[in-house]
Amino acid sequence: MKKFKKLLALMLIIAMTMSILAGCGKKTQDVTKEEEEVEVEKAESTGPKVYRKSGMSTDTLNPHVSDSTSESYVMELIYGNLLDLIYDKESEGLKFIPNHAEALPTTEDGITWVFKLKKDIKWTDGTPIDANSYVWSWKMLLDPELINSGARALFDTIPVVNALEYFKGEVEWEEVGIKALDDYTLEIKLETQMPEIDVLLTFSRGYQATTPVHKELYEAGMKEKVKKEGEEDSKGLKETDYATSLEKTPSSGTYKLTEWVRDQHKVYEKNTGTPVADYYTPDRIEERVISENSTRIQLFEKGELEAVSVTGDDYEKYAEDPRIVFQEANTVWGFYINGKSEKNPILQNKDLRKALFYGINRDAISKGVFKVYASSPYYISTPCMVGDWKEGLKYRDTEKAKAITPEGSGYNPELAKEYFEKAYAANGNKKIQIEIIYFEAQETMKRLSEVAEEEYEKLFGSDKLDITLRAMPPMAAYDTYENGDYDMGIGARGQNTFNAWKSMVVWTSDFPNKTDTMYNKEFDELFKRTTQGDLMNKPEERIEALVRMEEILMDEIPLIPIFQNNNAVMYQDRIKLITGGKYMPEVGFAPYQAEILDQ
Amino acid sequence: MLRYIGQRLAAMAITLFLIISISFFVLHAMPGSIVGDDPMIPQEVRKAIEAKYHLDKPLPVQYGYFLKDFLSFEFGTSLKVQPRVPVFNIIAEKLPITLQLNIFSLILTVPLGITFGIIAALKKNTRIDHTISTLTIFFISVPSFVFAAVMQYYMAFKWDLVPILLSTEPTLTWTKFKSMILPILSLSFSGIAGITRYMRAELCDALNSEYMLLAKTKGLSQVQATVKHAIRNSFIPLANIIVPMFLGILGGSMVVENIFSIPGTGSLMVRSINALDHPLSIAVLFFYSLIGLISILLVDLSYGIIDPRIRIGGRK
Repeated sequence: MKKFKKLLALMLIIAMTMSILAGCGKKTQDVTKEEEEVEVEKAESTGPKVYRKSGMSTDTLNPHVSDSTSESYVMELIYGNLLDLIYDKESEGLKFIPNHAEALPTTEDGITWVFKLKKDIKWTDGTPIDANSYVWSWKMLLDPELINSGARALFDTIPVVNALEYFKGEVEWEEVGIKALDDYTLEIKLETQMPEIDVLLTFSRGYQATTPVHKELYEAGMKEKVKKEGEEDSKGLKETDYATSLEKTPSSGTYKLTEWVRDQHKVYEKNTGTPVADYYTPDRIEERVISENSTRIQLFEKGELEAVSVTGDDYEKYAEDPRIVFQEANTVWGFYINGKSEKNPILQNKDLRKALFYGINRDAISKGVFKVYASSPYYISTPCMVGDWKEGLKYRDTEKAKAITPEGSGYNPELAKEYFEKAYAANGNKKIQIEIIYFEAQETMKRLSEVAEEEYEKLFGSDKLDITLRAMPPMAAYDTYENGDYDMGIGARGQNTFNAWKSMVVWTSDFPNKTDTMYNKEFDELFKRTTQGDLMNKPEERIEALVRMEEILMDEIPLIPIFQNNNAVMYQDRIKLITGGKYMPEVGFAPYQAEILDQ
Repeated sequence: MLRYIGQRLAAMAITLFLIISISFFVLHAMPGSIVGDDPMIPQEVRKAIEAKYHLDKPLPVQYGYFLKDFLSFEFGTSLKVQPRVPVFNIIAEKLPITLQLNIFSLILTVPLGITFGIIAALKKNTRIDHTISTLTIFFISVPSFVFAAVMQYYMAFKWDLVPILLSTEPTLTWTKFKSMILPILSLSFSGIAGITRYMRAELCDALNSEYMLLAKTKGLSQVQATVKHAIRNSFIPLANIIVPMFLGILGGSMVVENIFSIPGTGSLMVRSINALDHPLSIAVLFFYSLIGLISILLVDLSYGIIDPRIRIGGRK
């Protein structure tokens, strides 16, 4: 026993010594940080500017099939497009600038759009890019045998004449509304008029599926699949391994990919001769794949990363740090409610849905569980813009939107109780039972649901309401929502920041991938009028229609909106953000336009 | 012996076939679509992509296609993780760094494990034995990623002794080796502890057996008897864990690889399953099943080599 005590004492001494050493380490680091700050102030900008970032794994850099956000961050660096979108310091807003194009496109009727291309655009291996390169790239994008997921850019994002029919193999390429009028003139014909912003965005930035592909490399990687017995036609028999490794990935953008070790790191060097290179400051960008946030924070603290996301518990540590800036997410998270439930018919009761809407303590979730998120008692997220995009007017800042938005976080216990009592009576004064589905293996989602369960039962009384929780993998949960076999469940709805009307499609009655249970004719009609009909070119009426659509959502409550997943990001002092910390749709904080001081 | 090996190989082929077939049905029963959960993807695109990979066909038809390819050793290309790249090229690309790390880890694990095991057994019930046994239990109980995270925090971040992440240098240099120290240690601790525990238990048993008494009566010293008889006999059950360890170097550790940003094989399985990349998932499963089955065969065969009294496949 004595020996054991001695051993225990020895272990305690070792642990204490380690803690003291760790403390000493921190102090030393703080002093070093202060010294660094002084040095940074003194530093003058000389030598190549290196920007070090963290990233995620990249599956493919083929713009025709890539569908992940992390890949879009890579493609926007290495691929060019007809236009580029940058942060304009003068107007303190966004600005489209010509990249491969000579100028912004011209149109007389909003249906036929013409792009004039510059004459000296090349891939980094010297292969020229002209109007024919673009036409060939888009032909491949829509190819009925390749079946690329990005093809929707030319028939769903903007409806190019016969693009969908060609994709389905119903018409010849010559019938598609894409033509090279000469080597440097591109003509695109749409089936209907589209807002200018939608057209500009479709042909802007390297991550869009409309960015050109390198013909020789694309064809070199092409393989014909062997036809299976019983296959009726040749659809989907071609595929290419274009842009799946460094040697198969060309560059036509501001940066050239010079190193790529899959799942580990990438290096980009600036293509100084490219049209928009002067807008971007780093001469070299180094990227490491880091999946653990704690590792990213350690590297940031050591000055080996320029930026880091600060989430959850880490946020409490850095909340007062002046280097913190906030992103604005274009997604609203909440609980879907099955308003058509046959199994649990009380959910069809609007009073119950309203009670749950006003009875959710959003701040307890957004600040209590996620620490940094924003409570959102609305369906259209804060970055969404309306009117002329150049003015940058945000929908949530309009008086009309403010008028229908519940006050504060939308938590109104008294009103909620009132609605609940009516619903309780409608249920024959019997206890209401609701099951909430949350995503399994995601701790914060579990905690979110637990908080909701506790808050609801506390507010309405556990003798009147019983909430149970059920874990499900996200994919299985969404399948369950689509089948309508649920009471309530976690989910999210994202919005197009430049065209919030278009995002409303998910709530319409005939939306094919419907996960909610709202079927409202007035809503459907307003959606049609604002996206394809008479309200498209009437800005004021269009905003009013959007307000009305949100009002209908707030009345029907197909989802209880809870939070917008705004994240906090910390930048090193050496990165002087051109936006001054303001978050802009599409370009974020424009970190590659930032002034980079020497280390 | 050859007949025995032949029988075992035939059984292995059947087992592999069953594993792959069951995996096929389990993987295809998973919810979700390869096209992803973005609701904005038009139905035309969703249906066309599913048709391209025959995912719109009934499961038995898909299985028929799969079986035809499988029997001609055509595993196909990845659908999502590395689109259009042959699945075994993906595994082969990730193997070198995993092999490098695991070989270094083995070089550390086996001799240290055996040494500590022998010391603990020879010093049974002394303070040394108790210390080794306590540490053994500690290192077996605590998962490797906990050591990885703690060591990364203190040794790399706080004390700056080694880099936080694996170096990106393509060749094995001193800098790269330095950056491999933490992952190697993280991967080694539980292995060392496992071998130590086995070795101690087996050697303690052997040291108390009657043949040791006989050996010493014959005139051998304690050291000679231990080295020539006890340790050799203790290796028979040890083969059960050491042989799979040698083959296990081909598989990575997902969490340790994530922590140190190592582009190894560890996360391939989880990524392919999450992405519903069935051809890659099945290829990875096939690869690991093959390693597992070969390990078992080699363990069985090694019994005969370590102890000639054991006859493999001998007739009664």
